[in-house]
Amino acid sequence: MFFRPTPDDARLIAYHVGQVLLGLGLLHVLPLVLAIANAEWNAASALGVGSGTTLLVAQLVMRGRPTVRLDWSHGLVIVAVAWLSGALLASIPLYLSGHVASLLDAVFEAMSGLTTSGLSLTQDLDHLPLSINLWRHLLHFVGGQGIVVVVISVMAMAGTQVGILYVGEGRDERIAPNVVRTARFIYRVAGVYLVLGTVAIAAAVTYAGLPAERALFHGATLFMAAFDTGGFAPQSTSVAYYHSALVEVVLLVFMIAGTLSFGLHYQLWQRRPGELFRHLETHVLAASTLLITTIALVGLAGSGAYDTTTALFRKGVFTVVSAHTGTGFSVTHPRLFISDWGMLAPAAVVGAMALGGMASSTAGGIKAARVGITALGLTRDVARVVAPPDALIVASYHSQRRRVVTDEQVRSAATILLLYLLSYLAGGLLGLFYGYDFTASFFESTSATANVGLSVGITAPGMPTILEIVYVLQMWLGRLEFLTAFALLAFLVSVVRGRV
Amino acid sequence: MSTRGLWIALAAVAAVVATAATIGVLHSTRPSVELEHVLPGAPDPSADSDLHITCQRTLPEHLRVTIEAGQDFPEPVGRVISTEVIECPTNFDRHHVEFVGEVVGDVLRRDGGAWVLMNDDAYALEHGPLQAHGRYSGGNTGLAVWLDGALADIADQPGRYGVRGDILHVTGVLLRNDPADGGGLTLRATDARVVAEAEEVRPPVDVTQAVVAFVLVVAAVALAAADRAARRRR
Repeated sequence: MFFRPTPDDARLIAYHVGQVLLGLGLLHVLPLVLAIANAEWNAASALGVGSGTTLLVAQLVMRGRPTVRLDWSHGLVIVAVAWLSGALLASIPLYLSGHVASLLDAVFEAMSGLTTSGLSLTQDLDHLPLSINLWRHLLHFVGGQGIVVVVISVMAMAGTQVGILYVGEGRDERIAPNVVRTARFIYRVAGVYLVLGTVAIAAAVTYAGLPAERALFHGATLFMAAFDTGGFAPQSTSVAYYHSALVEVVLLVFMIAGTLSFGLHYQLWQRRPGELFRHLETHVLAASTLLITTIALVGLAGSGAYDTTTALFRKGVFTVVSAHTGTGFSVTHPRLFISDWGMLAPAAVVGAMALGGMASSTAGGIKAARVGITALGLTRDVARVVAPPDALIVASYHSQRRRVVTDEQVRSAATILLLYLLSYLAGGLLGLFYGYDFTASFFESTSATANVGLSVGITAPGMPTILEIVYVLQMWLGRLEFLTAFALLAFLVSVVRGRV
Repeated sequence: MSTRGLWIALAAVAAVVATAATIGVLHSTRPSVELEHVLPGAPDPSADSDLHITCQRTLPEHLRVTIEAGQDFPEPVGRVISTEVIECPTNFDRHHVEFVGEVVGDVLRRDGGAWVLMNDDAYALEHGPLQAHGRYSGGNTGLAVWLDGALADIADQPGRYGVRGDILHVTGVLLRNDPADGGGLTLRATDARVVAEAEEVRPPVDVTQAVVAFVLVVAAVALAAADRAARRRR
């Protein structure tokens, strides 16, 4: 398709993007019902404008049944366009709510929601209508499960090569033999966790003193942000709002569940828990979390930020896990990272954000699989150098079965790792250009690309426009792991030129 | 690109511009309501330099307090604002201070008292909640406050959508890492009084936006129905 895109290719792409937008348009109904129930009339009409616009756009771009066969290149472009257009249209209710100052801020917020980043430009969050707050968190939920996977699993067409769309989402694992069944499995897991998680978190916040009539809302929204490793929170002080170790522990469980790959969830679902302990990514995550937590705790102890061991562990461990899983919940005011945590602890948090969670999960970052494969490839190559010439050096790892590390895998992993590092660097340099200090610039850039959401204050209303646009792009690129965006670029170039 | 493709692209661009313009007009013509008064009785700290404690000024060490049962606290060293406390928590650690803010969210009652979040941003102490007046003043900022015993009953209407919550004047000890809060930055109140009661601030219904929403939804449903009918005829 890249070599000579035809109008049929464009029609095919538009058709499948329209299917995704159709699902997004219908999603508005949930917060709309809440808005009407709570007499949030202006929020209800804002959601109505958003829903109507999205549904109209979806139906208009779906006109004309596609005649060409879906292939790999179509799939990548569809995913890239779906995420971009989804963020644009999802921003409508946010902008009309009156709590974001500009359309760009609203697009930023919507992209942050759909990419499960959690960076926020909402103003006066503590007086936000409940329905709009729910909309923000719903974007996390559907973004985390993959908006493409949502629509395909619900409206699967017989004979469509939906697997191509699935891989374009940044998920490399086939969990069940059939991709549609894989997508439906993802939703089943998410649905079960949604019920269990909402109940568990609602109980925890009620125990923390929250009035019972508010517990369900907080339970549902916090679950969506935790399991989808998003990071939006119902109130401005994030998880610190509840002053509760129990709430923090319950959220830790769901953050960790969210960072597990769906392949591992499938194994656990099939009552094969041993896979969890043998899996390469489990080993990588366990080792990196332990190392980074140790560094962070040493840094916090040195800074004198906390007087007691309990406080040190509670704040340090929660923040590192929140960063490593890509969630972005905070139990500390963001500015305290800079003003009170010294240098080493924030650096450790940046490292955790950069590495990220497991592949084929809702987490962002470089991913444990790539870190593990790159490390195995490196040790294998070093071993080959020092070993006798005729020695056979093989590196292997466990992921559902024993797999040998191939040169192609190492190259692929290292390429994406490098792209992430370049993105962290680019955003950090731009922050420095605008006068922000070194720690803050790279902290925020890493948080955006790795879709984490922890902020030291750069992401705030009134931030430089160019920097804001770059963060939007970083969140989009990070969520789609770059290659999908390159596919879109190639398609646009070939459309203009008539060939690559 | 063919001529037809070019026309389709231009039509798409025009549709996007028209949609953005409509949404921009709806955003800018939102109705609002002004609160009748700014918070009475609580001076804006930025206007009075005697009250404004900054990171550059080091508070006397001997004025730091420890919290013990039944102790008498010294006079507060002055009024603080949340942004400066957060910016330099060490300077204010264990000082007896005054703080004014709006209770928002919920009153978390437990352990013989209550945790509240008190915001002292412009939405709390100046214009009121954003949806009422449309004046953008950034994000929320405030402090976590522990109200012990009977003090917990003082705040009964926190701010949320449609409500500016009770405004409290609190005197208390700032703790840079409160052991009762797992190391959190808190203000443990020794006294509190209501400065302004909560008030409703719901803006009037935006009829224009409601009409536009109705038209768009009806159009979407009508288009879906027409497509379905056309497919059945085929």
